[in-house]
Amino acid sequence: MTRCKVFLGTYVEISIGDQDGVSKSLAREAVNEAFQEIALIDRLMNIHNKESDLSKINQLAPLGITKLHPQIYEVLLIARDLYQQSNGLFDCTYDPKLDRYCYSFDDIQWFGDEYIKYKKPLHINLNGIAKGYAVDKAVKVLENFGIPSGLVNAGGDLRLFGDKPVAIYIRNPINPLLVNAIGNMKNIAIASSGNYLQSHLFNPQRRSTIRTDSSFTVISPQCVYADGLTKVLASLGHSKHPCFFHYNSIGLIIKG
Amino acid sequence: MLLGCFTISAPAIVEARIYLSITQVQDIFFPKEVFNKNPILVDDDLQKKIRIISGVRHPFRGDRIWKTANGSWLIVDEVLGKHEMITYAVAINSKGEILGIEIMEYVESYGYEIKDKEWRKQFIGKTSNHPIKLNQDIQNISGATLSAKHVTDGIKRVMAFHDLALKSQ
Repeated sequence: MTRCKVFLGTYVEISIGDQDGVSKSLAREAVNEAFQEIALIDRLMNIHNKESDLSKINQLAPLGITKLHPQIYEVLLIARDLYQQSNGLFDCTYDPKLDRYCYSFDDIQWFGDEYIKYKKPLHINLNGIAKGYAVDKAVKVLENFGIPSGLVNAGGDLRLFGDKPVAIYIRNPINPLLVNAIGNMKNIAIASSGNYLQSHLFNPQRRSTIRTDSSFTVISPQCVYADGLTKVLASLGHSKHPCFFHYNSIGLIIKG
Repeated sequence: MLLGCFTISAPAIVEARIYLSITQVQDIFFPKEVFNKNPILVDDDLQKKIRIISGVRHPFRGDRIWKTANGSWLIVDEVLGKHEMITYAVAINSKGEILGIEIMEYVESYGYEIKDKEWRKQFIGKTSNHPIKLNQDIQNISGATLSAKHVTDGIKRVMAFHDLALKSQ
């Protein structure tokens, strides 16, 4: 069974094939639940929706101590880890449109678990890892249902689970209708960033956008790290940074 | 740790993904309910109204509409992006609320004009009435998040159509 729905501004595909020992009704229930999990993440973390939990946190946290939704707390811990491991190359508080303000992830003050306050009028934007995080969460739901293998793909950030090898392709950065085959894989997450259709890459340390024709792909055990590390790879232009080793990840650059 | 920098010849994709048939969509949203096809004639005036509301330009087809016994609707429509054509279904309950949306079919590179001659060659002499051979083998592609904005606009037009033509039924 393969289904596709629209979440997080893109097409999210869940494919679980015809499974041995899994009834059709259980497979359907599992896929429905997995989509619901992604829908929840979309609702919580969509910064284009002023009513989303993340938007409300961005409004309240500059004013005082604000409680986080447990799921946002979980993503923010991952974002903090990525920020620290990458020496600031992944920074979900950096906004190229507000370049003149000098703040970083360090300007978030933590009060025990699930409470934060912004020391400066910054904004958290989780778009850099939300898709990868949603993919991981959906995979977890499917695994909890006992689905032995499958794939979740959120607009090109994807994760394979189970022991079935699947052919994986990466879009060509110059012409997205061309693809490069990178081989058969299993139990792996892969995410790519590039300026494919519009320019959106930036380097939070140099506080500048990245002009490039290349695409940046990261292969990791979990999709959230693959997703986050593509931005680090794009900023560095190489993967000789200890954070790749730390997350058991491989960086791949396709020259445009 | 490995860093690969490579340029290799890349195959072109003309990807078609068929996710769900209309029967499967009905089964997802309204299992066990009785369905009747309920085609609506969409005249120029109605076309114009829903075009203005939604901004979607190609004509809306009124022949893919179903109604359940308890007054819910299922409407199938498609959107044309720069690179893709997407057929999708919108389920609406009797109160006029969206129950859900399913992508039924996704065809990439539909109508895409490309400068690469080699690539273009395969389309010569082919029109939309003469479908190009679609590559169903190339799936699982990483990269280039495709914006689903067209579907969002499409849903807006389906809801506009529902408001103007179906609500009163």
